[in-house]
Amino acid sequence: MTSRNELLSVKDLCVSFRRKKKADKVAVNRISFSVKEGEILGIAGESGSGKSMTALAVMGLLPDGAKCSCEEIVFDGKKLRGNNADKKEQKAEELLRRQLSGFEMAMIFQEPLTSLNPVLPIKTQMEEPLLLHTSLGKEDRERAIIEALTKAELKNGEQLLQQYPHQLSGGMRQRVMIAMAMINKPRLLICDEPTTALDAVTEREIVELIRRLAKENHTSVLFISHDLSVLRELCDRVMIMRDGVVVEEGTTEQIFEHPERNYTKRLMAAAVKGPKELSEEQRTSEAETDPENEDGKRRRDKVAYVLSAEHVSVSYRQRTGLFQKRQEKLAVKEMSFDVRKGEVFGIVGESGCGKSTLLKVLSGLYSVREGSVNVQGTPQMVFQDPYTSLNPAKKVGWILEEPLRLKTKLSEAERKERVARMLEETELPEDAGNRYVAELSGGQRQRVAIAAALITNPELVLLDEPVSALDVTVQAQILELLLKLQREHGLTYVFVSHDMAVVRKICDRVLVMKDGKVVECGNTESLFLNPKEEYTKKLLGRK
Amino acid sequence: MRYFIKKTVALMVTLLMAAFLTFLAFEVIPSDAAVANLSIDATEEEIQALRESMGLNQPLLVRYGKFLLGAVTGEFGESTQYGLPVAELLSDRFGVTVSLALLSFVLIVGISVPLGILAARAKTKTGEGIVAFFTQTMMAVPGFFLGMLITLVFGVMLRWFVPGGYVPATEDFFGFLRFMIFPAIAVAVPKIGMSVRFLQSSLKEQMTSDYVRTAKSKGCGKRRVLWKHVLRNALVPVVTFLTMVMAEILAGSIVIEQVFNLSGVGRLLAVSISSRDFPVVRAIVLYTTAVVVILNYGADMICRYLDPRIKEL
Repeated sequence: MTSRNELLSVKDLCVSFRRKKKADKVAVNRISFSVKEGEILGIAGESGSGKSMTALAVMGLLPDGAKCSCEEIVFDGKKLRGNNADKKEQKAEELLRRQLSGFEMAMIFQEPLTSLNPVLPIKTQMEEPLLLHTSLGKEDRERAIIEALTKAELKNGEQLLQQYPHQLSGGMRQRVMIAMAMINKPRLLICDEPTTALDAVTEREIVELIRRLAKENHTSVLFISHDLSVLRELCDRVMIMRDGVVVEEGTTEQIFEHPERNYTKRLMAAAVKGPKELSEEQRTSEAETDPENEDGKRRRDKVAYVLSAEHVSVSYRQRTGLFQKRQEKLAVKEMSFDVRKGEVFGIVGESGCGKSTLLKVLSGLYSVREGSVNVQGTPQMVFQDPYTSLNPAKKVGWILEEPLRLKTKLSEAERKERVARMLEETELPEDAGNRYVAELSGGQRQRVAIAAALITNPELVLLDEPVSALDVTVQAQILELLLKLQREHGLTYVFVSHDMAVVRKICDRVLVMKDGKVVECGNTESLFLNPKEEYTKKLLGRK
Repeated sequence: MRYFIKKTVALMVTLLMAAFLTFLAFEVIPSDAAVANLSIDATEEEIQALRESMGLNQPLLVRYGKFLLGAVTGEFGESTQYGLPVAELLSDRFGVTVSLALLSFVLIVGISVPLGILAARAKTKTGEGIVAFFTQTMMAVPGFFLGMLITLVFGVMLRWFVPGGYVPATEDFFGFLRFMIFPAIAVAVPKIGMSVRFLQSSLKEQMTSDYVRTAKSKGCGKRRVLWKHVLRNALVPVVTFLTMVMAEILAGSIVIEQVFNLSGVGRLLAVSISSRDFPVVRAIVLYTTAVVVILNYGADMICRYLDPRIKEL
């Protein structure tokens, strides 16, 4: 019998996947944990550590082909899943789960866009948990929906009811998801990386919202994230997972202040230090050093500009009606900045601020409407998602050779040699050239993308969120690699990101963007320590 | 609403353009209707006189205007082959083709939607194999062969219907239905194979979507997930596909009409082309384009209703 205040207890949970002609892949290997009433438990780990599978197994939402076994999963004294249940018992378990899901336990997911049904209005989707689990009448249901939306800080709830997910922003969609999950005031809320797809400002707001709603409703939370700083802020207890097993478990303080296991320490070290971790003295002392001086010290000999943009405006045309004139929308407004040779120039801002558009202009994919952009040489680009930006039908060697075939007159032997050298420089295995992209890991793929960008010896490389799709440890490795290559080849980077911690680690200067305009631009450290504009402070999480 | 107006305007414009192109196409054909109507030894005066009376000497735009007016009022001139007004000739044939199309469409939708759902739920390898075998066989059988097979088995051997014994619906409705069901099956079978596959893959794809997981997390059972969430998402590509099928059948299935000895639009077209009966050909071409355009318009409306994300012109 579980102790009285234990809401969820999981014993010896195993999840594995069947594979063709190979042994089953074990995703979760005999883990046990429990969540107390009103407690927030965080599960941290890299992707593939089994943390999401654990959450899905608790909710009974494992994908087809997953095999799940356990000693027992008990929720509020009721057995959700037992060991070796026969057909009849399984049916009963299934029924119980359906009664509890969306009522006493609810879940929110990583991708707020795809997690909502695209063809149903918000009202219909939010109504479902009420229809299935309560006997409220039509008007009461509507009132409950609006109340839930208001609690999730969505102001014009009534207007939202008839809208569809695609008409809302990412942050709003996630709020709708939260409102929907909380509508029946569940006792357990499971969050599977709910902020990963959101930008820094929205992320903070969403975490705050989950914390507040959980407290108000006395809801326990199982919060899964690879972002340690979020877990540190939110959780009472944290569990670190790796390769399907629990590495370490303890109160948030224990884990973050006195980690015992080496892996936990490594994970902490790899998580790029955010501005929070700096002590006050450090802040003031560093702020006193002259930013110009420091910058000059770094690259005194190079004041040449690789890229300069003057009063650049970019617009795209949108037609609002058949008989209306096409309207111009400005995505970038009157931006001016220079990028010095050999520096790492960061561009930060929320999603939708125009940073990707700006990058496409710099690379020559878009043309400017007004102003001018001067770029030396042909810049190369590295994209965010290494899974979709590399051709899956070609081998890595072919992908790397392609720019050489098109732009140079090198012989085949010379090209092959160059490819081999590039693979070595990007620390890829020698035989990677003969493999397909699908056979590589996410980190390796991003290495391939970097190698493909650098193979033509460009001076300027444009990086569009190159590490945001990667795990923390891989992130750190890729950033190291980028810095190493930059030093060795004297490269200039324009680095676009929404992750302030990463920007702080890698960039020499930073430009903060909002609504297509420059908010602030300056030396990284001084900007992080003494942000002048309100918006920059908000972005850095200091209000 | 705005989408509806936009689409309707676009429909009108497309129809006008299609009519103009059809008109133009018959203008550039190097054959003079007047010459074609007279005997070889007709004098120049006789040709000119006939051209005058047929209105062939008027300016292009005036003739286009007249053609358009005729098209709207159902006045397409006279068939050179039968000496009958084209409209009268066509109205009989339309009846046959449209009823064949409607009947086969009912069969296609009525059979392939439940089968597609069933197929999508086939989880085992054997289940999938069976579905693949049957759908592929259905798609692979040529229409004329299937038609002949049906005639042989049901008409000649079982004597369930009289081959070639078409009865107009106005005379004996059940007799008409008893006959028409067989050509309708011949038309429908290959299309059913295709739509089952289409619906199956569309459903399967949707079943793995994130929103399905969300629905389950809310406590929806399998049935509710399927009917409430998945089906609507999965139907959009199927609707587009079925529209194409319907247009194809309405444009006339020459082969099936030939096999079952039905006098529908398809056969009329074939005969008219070989005997250079241009007024008839022109009317059929115009009818076919109009059918395709209007069906697409209808499909756009349905898709828009199913999926509110669709908004571009």
